[in-house]
Amino acid sequence: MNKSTLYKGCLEPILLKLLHDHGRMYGYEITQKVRELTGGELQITEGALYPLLHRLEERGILQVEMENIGNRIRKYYALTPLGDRQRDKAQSELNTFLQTLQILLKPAI
Amino acid sequence: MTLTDEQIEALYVFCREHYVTYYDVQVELVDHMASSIEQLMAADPKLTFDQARQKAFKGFGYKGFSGVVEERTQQAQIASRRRVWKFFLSCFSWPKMMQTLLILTVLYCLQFYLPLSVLKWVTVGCSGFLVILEGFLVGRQWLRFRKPSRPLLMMQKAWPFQFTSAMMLNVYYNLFMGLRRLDGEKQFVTLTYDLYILAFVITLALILAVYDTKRRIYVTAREKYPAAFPIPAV
Repeated sequence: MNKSTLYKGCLEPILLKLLHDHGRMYGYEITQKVRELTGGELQITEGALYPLLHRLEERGILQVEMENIGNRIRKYYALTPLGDRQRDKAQSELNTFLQTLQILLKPAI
Repeated sequence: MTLTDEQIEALYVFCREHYVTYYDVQVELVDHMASSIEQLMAADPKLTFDQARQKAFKGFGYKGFSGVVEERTQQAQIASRRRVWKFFLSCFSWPKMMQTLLILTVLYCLQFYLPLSVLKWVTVGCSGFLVILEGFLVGRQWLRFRKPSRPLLMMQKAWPFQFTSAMMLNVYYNLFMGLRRLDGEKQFVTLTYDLYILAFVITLALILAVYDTKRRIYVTAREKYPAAFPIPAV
């Protein structure tokens, strides 16, 4: 099975956790951080990351800051208070999901 | 290494060539592509700018930039609709409801003091007021909301910016005609007047909700993308 398909549903909790740990981040930085933390095991594609970031921004889970860095503008994303609550919720849902999977995949005695 | 101004401009051109015409979307994509190109060229100095750009673009998958634009458009529409709806509902909930109730009560009580022949003219006057209000708000918006020099998706694709005055007055007309079915579309009677004031209040709330949402979107656009508005706000 394709690894990226397995990770697909976990993208939101991963992203919220990263933003919680690092404060504010920009799109490219997020892709690189995930690659670095997972040793290249998980690579978030830009085509999946930006739609998710925009969706979370419109839902009020993320807030943005624009910053001029030399000859271009950078858009930083950070968690809002609502985003912080959403992170806890997403994290606990993911944990429940993992526990359920472990029950299903545990070898039968 | 850092990309030059010409290379950054070339990335904006690249975005436009890939059908990303909106400045607010281009800004983010250009920064992403530039960061990726800088890293690729630092890792392999033999790589040319064009080669690195093609490599960076591959990260967006087979859909290229179109997936990002599609999602952004959808989100802009959903968010603007939600804002209009929120304002509209606030007119019928505490504390704004008091103002709405006051207008409704004043108009409703008129029927106890005025004959039907005069009430007819009250409805004409209220309709005129709605047309003037819509015209005033559109005029004010035209004067105050400077058009961005570079197109912004958050403004162009937002639902209230696509909702014209003609559409608004059409809603008002249809709302009233729809409600009139309740009184059997007879001659002008007291019930017709009551239905009319209901349609009036609903349309008034809708006009204000659409205008307020446009104003908020415009203010946010100016804050986030000042480079798209070279002329200062009035």
